[in-house]
Amino acid sequence: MSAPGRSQALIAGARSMEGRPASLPADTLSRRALLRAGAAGPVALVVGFCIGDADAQATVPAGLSPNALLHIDTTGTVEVRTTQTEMGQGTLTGIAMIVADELDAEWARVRVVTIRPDGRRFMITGGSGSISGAWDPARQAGAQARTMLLEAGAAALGAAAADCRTERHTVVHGASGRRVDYKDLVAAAARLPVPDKPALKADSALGLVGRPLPAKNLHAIVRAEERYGIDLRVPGMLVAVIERSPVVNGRLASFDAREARKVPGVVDVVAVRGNLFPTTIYVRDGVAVVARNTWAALEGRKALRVQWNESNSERPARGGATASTTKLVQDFERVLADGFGEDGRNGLHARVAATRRGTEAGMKQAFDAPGTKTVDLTFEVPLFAHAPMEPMNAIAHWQPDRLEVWAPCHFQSGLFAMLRHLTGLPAEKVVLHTPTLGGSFGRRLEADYAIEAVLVSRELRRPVQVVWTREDDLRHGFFGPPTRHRVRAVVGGDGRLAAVDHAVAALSVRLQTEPGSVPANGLDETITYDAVKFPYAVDQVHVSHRIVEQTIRVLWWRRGFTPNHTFANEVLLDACAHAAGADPLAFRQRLLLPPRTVEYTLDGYPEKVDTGRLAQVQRLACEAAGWSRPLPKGAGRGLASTVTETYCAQVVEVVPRPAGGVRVARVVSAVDCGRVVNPQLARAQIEGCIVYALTAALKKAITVENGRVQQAGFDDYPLLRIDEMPVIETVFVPSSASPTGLGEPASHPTWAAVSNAVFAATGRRETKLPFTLGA
Amino acid sequence: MARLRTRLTINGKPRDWSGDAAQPLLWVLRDDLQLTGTKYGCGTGACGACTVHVDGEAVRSCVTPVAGVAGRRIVTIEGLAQGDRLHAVQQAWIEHDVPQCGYCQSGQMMSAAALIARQPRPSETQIDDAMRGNLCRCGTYERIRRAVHRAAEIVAGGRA
Repeated sequence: MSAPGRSQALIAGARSMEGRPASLPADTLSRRALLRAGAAGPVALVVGFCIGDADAQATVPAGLSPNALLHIDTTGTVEVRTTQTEMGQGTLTGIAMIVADELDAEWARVRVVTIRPDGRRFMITGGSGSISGAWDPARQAGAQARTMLLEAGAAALGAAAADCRTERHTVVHGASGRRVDYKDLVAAAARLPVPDKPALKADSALGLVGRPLPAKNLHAIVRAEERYGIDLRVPGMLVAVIERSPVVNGRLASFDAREARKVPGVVDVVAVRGNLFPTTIYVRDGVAVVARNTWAALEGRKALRVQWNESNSERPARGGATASTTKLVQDFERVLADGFGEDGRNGLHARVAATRRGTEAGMKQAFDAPGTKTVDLTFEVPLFAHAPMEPMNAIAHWQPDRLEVWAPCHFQSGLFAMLRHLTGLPAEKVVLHTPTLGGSFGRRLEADYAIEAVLVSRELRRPVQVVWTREDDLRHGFFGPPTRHRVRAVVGGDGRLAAVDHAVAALSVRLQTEPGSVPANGLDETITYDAVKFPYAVDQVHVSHRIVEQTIRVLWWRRGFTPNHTFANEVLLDACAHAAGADPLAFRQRLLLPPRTVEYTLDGYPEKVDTGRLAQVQRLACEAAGWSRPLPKGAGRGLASTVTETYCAQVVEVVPRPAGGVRVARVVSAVDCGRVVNPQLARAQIEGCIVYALTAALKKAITVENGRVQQAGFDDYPLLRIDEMPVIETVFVPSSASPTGLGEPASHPTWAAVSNAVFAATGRRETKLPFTLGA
Repeated sequence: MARLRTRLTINGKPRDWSGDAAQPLLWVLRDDLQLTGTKYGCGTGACGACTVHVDGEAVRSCVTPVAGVAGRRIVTIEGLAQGDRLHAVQQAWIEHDVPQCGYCQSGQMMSAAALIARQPRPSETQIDDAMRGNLCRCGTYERIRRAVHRAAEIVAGGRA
């Protein structure tokens, strides 16, 4: 199984990045990637491992390609060096816990850091794949180092390894109780061969995994010592604020910087020549005001006079100044209604492709069968912004033969390849630092802000920090992919599902960020995947997409498409249960049991769904929520669930508001993510996912007219606040299965669970986000 | 631009400063005085990430011109602890594992500290009122609420 491979396929698509593990020279990595510092450097015990290495192993038969290192120095400090970045999801802490547990390390002596890309590693954090991808290799690395330390310790104690054990950073001789600290064994252990298949601990012996340890950077955050990208200062650094083309693919025609240059502190004003969308990293044309501090740069930008060419010939239909969400919704409606909606004259070209389980004749038969009920619903998901609290920023220092960049991002190998492409420099001359991210939710996969910093630094030959304002973030950023779904289902007289026909109109993240990445058959599986992945018993499933094009930029948004399809599927199921006169839980259970395994593939990466585990989280969520307990008048409960390696079911309770309508009062989740590595961090991810989804469900969408995003800040793009919080309760299924990810899954069922609760309370189906909740 | 030359009192220390009188305190702290614990989140006073104390009151430094705070007592997140001794709010934030990405938490803690100084045992409504202006995209609100109550307990019971 290759969970991280699949996750990577989801977010990085077919992008053939330089730095895939396959490009590592095998000879430097033989012998299980043990690297030893020679006489020239300090002695350390180093074991390499590869997070998410399933596909790497297949293509590099000569050996592992480490993208993570376990490094123990002669002070006994254990440093776990990973490609993963920390953005609040707790991944670095989790990976370090897994290593440290097998190593029998003392937690206080364990550090964890993000390494820099060097062109030889695929570096991405996303798809909720870090912990699942780290579990086996991180345990093995910890066990390898422990075995070596044990052997070295036994020798130092003059005993046989079989008579010794490891505990809390020491090797102990069982009979005598004599002990020696790991730090005194590093030099000897580093000379030993790395064991191929070290014995892993029995589950019952795991001591750190399963404990609610604080995140490694907790104290630094609370003391305000954590340095985010925006906090970094480099000697000689200037700050740039960029006035960007208000529309995608608008070109800079001319600008007058005389007033801007008069603002005290402004050092220079330079043009930023971007590229054309769609492309791998799109950078808008702009004018950068470069100053000694942020305030001067902001004031300088206000004083700029800029002329844009918004109607250049390279602009496609529905591009630039003609982009509009009103038109997008109309296009979605037309391509769903017509099936094709080709209208070359008006620039509407839908890319239609489909996939099915069953046959066309079977589908027709199901819909025509007598004594059945048909459910026909249309769902609408608009644009939502990522809006992490730390605005986009990056520092670049362009030198004649060297480029150094500090960019909070989480697809480092992608950015690194782009930096090398821009400069033509060899890998060792490009230095990319990734500080802690002040949130991302997918936004910082595309580091356009870093490219901007490079372009401006190239003009000034000085370190330059580009800072985006919140307005820049909303106006010039990305959005979760909008969709419109028409979903029809047939419920048989026996109360079973006979057929589901799911047509989705969408903008394609793939076509926008990796032109050419959609295969020849035209099927963008990232759009259809979570509609195809419908593990309920049904003979006929037909899923089709109609991709339309607009220069509205979309990107993975706590996954993206998964929340959209889960919304459609799980409201559909609720409506089918209602049509069948069945309880929504009982209806689902009947379609999932007896347990079976269903396999799906995304770009060839398989995923297995155990319907028994899905049925179980549904029952547990309902049990915890008191599913059958009577509610006060006007209140309602709704159930929804999803599988993205992790199984998650939610029950939402809505209650009447005195002013009319209902409000979300309670969200109960049951989660099966295999073994829970760190219960408090896991719980935090569930809480965060719910708040993220509720903000979208209850607040406002982003709109675009005349190519311009109409929202500018948290006043018109509000986020959920503390006084709007429901009660959140979470239960985890006790499990010894390998852990799966939690960064995204609990955000996926929330929309449907809210919608189903509103139906239970009011009899009205909410099918269009954001919801009005009957107000 | 009105030029200002003044002495600011930040975390108990005098800091001489000169520049644009209209410059928001936030940028003075972050860019001129290298106190980057106070965060930029929106620039319009709409998210609370930049919250500091001015004469004990929670204030959004991104919309507070520096001219208005000359001669007043400014405390930033860097001045919340007394040396190694963390403020009760910081202790509670640690006990309840509040932060996720952590970016908004300086502002959250400054709002909470101002509340507790004013209301030693805040009610739920008082917490709502004091904290609703501080946004957290990671969704740490429930932990924030519990931590505010815990901080109040710590203050009431001495250093627990």
